[in-house]
Amino acid sequence: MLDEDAYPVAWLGSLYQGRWMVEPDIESIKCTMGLEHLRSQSPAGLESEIWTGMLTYNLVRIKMLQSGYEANREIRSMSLSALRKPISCSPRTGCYVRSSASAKRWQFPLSNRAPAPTSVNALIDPSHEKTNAFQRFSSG
Amino acid sequence: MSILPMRSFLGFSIFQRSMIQNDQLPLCEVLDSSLITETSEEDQVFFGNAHEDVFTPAINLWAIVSQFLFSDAARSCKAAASRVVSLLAHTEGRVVAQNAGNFCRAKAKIPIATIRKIALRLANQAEYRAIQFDDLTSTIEFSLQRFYHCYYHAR
Repeated sequence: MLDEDAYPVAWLGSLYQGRWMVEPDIESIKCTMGLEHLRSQSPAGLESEIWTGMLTYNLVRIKMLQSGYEANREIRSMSLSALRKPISCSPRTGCYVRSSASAKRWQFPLSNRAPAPTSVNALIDPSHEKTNAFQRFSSG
Repeated sequence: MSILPMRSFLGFSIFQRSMIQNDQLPLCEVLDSSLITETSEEDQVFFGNAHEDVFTPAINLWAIVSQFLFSDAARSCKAAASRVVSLLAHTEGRVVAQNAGNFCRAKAKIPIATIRKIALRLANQAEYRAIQFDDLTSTIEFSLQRFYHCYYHAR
């Protein structure tokens, strides 16, 4: 390692940079993908959760790779969490999020498509359930 | 536009569509649904054949993956089941009950080995193609450099 010709400074620098990039990647998996705290309560469930998380992570990373090549942009300069949002609000994925107010901002409107049956509106409208509950409470 | 054939086992194209995929994009073959289809066939993941069944392997895997695209409460099985209800209403005009229990039972039918295989194969393919892509880019750059170098000296 003391031989400057065999181990040039640029090579050492790139090696260090490559090593450091492992840390942000682990951070992305744990924090951005939310694999830090697992929800399942059985060993099989936990394993399934980890691998599904990794599958999703790979899908998003491949999308980043594509975007980088397409736009001729440095892939490491792109944000995983920033890309996850447009994917999750894609009409095929995030068309409806019931439980999270923050994620609801990304919901996809159904209005551009063929008119859905009336009962769907009752299913997808969160206020409907509240109204029913309120009515039941009021009548009781 | 319908995402059918969801009933067939070739219906994994839903993944391509969810990932805002275009055939013109680089590395498009990596996000091709055939990898998921092949893996599912290898492991014989067959359920939800009946017409009235909601959770086919494709829909189920899609719902599981969609859980990880969200955080907090939107990651719950209930929210995933809601997304399936919304998807079916959106694409097929069919209203089904939002049943998180059914979703969880269907989830257990997809073997962990299959999910692991898909994740690893996807990573391998992407890595291989990315290296190829980089090599191709560097080869072109190198050729251009040589061309300019020769051109400059010829003058």
